[in-house]
Amino acid sequence: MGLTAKRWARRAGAVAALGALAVLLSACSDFNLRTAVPPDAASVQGQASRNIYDIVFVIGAAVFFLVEGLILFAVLRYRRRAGDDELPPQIHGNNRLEIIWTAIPIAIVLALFVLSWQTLNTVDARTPTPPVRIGVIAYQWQWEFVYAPDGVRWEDCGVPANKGKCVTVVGTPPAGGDRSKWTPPTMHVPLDETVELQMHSLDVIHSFYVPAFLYQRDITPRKDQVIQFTADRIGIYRGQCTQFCGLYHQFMEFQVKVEPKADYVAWLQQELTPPSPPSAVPSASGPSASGPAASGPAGSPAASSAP
Amino acid sequence: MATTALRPAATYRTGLYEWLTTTDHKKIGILYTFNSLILFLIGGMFALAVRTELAQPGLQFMTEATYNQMFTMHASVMIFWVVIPFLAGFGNYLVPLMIGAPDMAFPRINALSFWLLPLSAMIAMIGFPLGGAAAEGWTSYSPLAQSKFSTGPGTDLWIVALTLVGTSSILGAINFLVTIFKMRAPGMTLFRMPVFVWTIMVTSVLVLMGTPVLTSALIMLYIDRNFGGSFFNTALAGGNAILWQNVFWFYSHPAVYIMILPAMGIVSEVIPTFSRKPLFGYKAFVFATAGIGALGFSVWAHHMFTTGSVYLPFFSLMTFLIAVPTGVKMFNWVATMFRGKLRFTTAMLYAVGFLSLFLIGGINGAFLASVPVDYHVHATYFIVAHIHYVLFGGSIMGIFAGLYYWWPKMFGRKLNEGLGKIHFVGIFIGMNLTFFPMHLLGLSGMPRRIADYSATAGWNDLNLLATIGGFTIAVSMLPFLWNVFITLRGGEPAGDDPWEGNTLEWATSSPPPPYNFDHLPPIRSERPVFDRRHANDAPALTAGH
Amino acid sequence: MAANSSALTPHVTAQGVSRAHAQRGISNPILGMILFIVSEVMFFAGLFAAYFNVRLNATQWPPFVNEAAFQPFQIHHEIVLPAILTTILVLSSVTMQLGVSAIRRGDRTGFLRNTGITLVLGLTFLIGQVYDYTQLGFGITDTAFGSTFYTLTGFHGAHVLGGAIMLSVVLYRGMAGQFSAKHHDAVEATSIYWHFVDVVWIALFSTFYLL
Repeated sequence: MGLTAKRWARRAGAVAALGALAVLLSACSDFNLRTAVPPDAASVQGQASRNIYDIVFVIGAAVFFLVEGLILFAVLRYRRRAGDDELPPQIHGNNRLEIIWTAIPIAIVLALFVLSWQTLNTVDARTPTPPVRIGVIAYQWQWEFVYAPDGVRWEDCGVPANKGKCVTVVGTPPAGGDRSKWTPPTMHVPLDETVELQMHSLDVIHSFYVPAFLYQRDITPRKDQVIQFTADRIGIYRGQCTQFCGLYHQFMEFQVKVEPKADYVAWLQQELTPPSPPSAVPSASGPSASGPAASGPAGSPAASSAP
Repeated sequence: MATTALRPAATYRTGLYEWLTTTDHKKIGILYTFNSLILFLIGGMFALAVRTELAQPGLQFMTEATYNQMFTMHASVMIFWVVIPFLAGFGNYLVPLMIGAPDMAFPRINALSFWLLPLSAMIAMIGFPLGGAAAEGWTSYSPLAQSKFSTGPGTDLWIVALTLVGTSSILGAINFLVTIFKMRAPGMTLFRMPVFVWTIMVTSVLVLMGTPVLTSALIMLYIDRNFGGSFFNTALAGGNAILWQNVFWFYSHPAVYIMILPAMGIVSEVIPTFSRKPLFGYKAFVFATAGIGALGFSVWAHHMFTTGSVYLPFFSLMTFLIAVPTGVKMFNWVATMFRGKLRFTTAMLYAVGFLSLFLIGGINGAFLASVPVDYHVHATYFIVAHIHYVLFGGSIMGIFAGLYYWWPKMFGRKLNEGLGKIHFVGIFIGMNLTFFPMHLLGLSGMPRRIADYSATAGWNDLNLLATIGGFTIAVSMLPFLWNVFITLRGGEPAGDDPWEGNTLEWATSSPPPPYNFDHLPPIRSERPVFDRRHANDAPALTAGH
Repeated sequence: MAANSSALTPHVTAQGVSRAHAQRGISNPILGMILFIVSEVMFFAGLFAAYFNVRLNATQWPPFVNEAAFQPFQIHHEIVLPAILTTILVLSSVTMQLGVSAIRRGDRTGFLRNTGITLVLGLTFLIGQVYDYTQLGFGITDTAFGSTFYTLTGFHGAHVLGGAIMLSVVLYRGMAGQFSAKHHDAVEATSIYWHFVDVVWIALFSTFYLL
């Protein structure tokens, strides 16, 4: 088995790889090229992250093509010809090259670091008086979002004195583990306003992740986290817990609905209004019934959300 | 040129008893190799279980509880019982040979280091029938790993098993360091050692200084779980869950360099041999290795960027910087091939495959050094892609290169090259099919460690593709196993130096006698066997610059 | 083949060491012990890191025995016995070193006597440590302070016990006449280990009782 067999094997490998790629790109029903890059950002901070991602990607791709190109070139150009037993020049090194290919990468990574740090300052920046504050409670394996009016701390929403003042949004867990029955809770937020999330975990570490915001933050018990974002695109975005939190970790999904300010206010108002007496016509939707918040985060589902 | 035998061949013990009681570094190296191969197949089964479940949305084959054990034990087995010991096994076999020593400094401790491995593996696995193996992820974060949330003996067994593995590693590191510092043959200065020996040396320093910190973390977790301690138990006064992450990653990040440096060392031996040129930039390589080792202790909190509890700029900077010595090595390997005369044996194919795949893993690692990017892809399949490109595309490819390269030295016969090439092509394609799609899955937001995923998120086809890739890898292992079987049974003897190697292991028989060398060639450079082979050539032919 | 053989053909002895460069510098077992101690230092470093993390994150220091009862631990006040134990351990390092010096000059009697005293002092330390545990009034389950205190001092005590076992072995071998001025690696290694155990204690004592 010599050069020929090896060449055959490599060509077969290349063809197979290309074939697989073709299958991937052509026939897939739910794959589209959108997944080859991060989602289009739906928040101001997410856009900043997306920008630095694009820069890192371009440099990464350039390095890849350069080095991979050099590898392929060397592999093809410097194959030993059959029967050639002469030693090639025994080059031990070149100090100048070493310096060059140390200095240039240092410059590149330092530049990337500085750009990343600047982006980070944008992404993690906080204003002292955000117009919207939402309490986020994470526990195995459910999210609750608590909207408290001005003057009431969301942590105090469960207190009897505050009954009827807060809105708590809870999803519906799947009946018997059947995903088709799952209703994730939906966090409503207004467009173009800074939203602050005050996040608390009741048991283990969870993580609040919205891919469309290109952002996640771990929520550790006894270490409440505060983050802010400004959503700038209307839509409903999926979110999920990313910190492995036990048996049903994969069920901890949620949604963020970004809507115009007027719609958001109307929704909040509707959630705070007690339901009207039941009419003769049965209501259309399943488990949802809006109403004032009852108890707080004791694990008992309070009002469920209408997405 | 006297041949001095330690004991006459007639009393040389063979058979099972010899293998169970041996203190010969070569036999111990072979034991490490086979132990790791068996556990590689077991860890691979766990991975296939994961991929089978994820091929389509919906839970078809197992409960969540089982799934969580599968991915936890897959990672634990591959890290602690496959990659780290595989490389330690190569070190065991090769270091004394490469430095011209008759054995390791402490042969009996060497045997102890090995036997702790199958023992600890059994302890970890016995969790399966006893109520469930560990299931919190190999990272075992608290409070999830506390007894309140992880009931059953699995986690405790895992803790005990890892403590034993740590002990095995630390004893091995002490052994390697004393051997390398004290037992080199005359003429073998530090800067004439093979690069592989340098990588084992730096790795041993990392093991020596990092592993005990893991041991302390494991002990603290055990005390939390079983003695009412509150190190990491946030339900009790003073417990700090983030403390676990800091102590754990302080070891587990250097651990990844423990897993890659010797593989880089292997590649640094294979590429020069099959390029017929010396390694380009030997000294730069040594400094880069030391640099990676040192920097490796300063980056651990990049695993914790999303906790809100670490000083981000420092760790981001150090993580970016560690790309530099890694890149230097990449360029040196490529420069070694330039103007060479490349022979594509299976070992060389794996070494070049390492270059291509580790390149991808290094680049997507640089993505992660940027904190805003990490905010998006942390704990998603992008990370899983990164892990596997560096550990599979890097370490495992390097390990296979080493196996094909040194198999003739260890067993006296080469592995069949035809089967080897089929193995390589299958692994290379399978590996990319499995793990490249994971970049895309992660970028679009698929978290890791989920037993099931939403059918409407757009992840179905990529997951199916990854599963096909996983089974491709599995099937590709069959020609390799067949190859091992037929080669061990019989075949043409390989001779002392089948590849025209450079370093001292090729200056003795295949396999070497118990005391390693009848006589040593003069050691005047880092390639003593090359020098001897070309001692009578005209100087111009072997000159370089 | 003559051109290929080295003038420095290694002569393999029963010890497996080339005579051409036999035993230059530090011996293998002693280097091994030093490296082992490096690993043990890192082990304690992990535990110390936990302690300092706990301390820096604590709202109240010393922490409460019982948060409801508002009684802080009296650790800084109960310093007398630990101070005595510290003195005993430091003294034992002195006697250990005297024993090493004795055997280095071939004084077997002095070596045995000093090693024996070291062992007695070490065991006294252990007994005193156990007694101190019973007097402290808090346990391993009492907040993260209890966890760190007992884990750190407990593992230190375990290392003292290990050292005591090593001393017993050295004493036994010494009495059997196995050590001489030229060959006493085990004594050197044990003494290095014993000094390390002492240094860890000084760090522990300072951290818990003085800081």
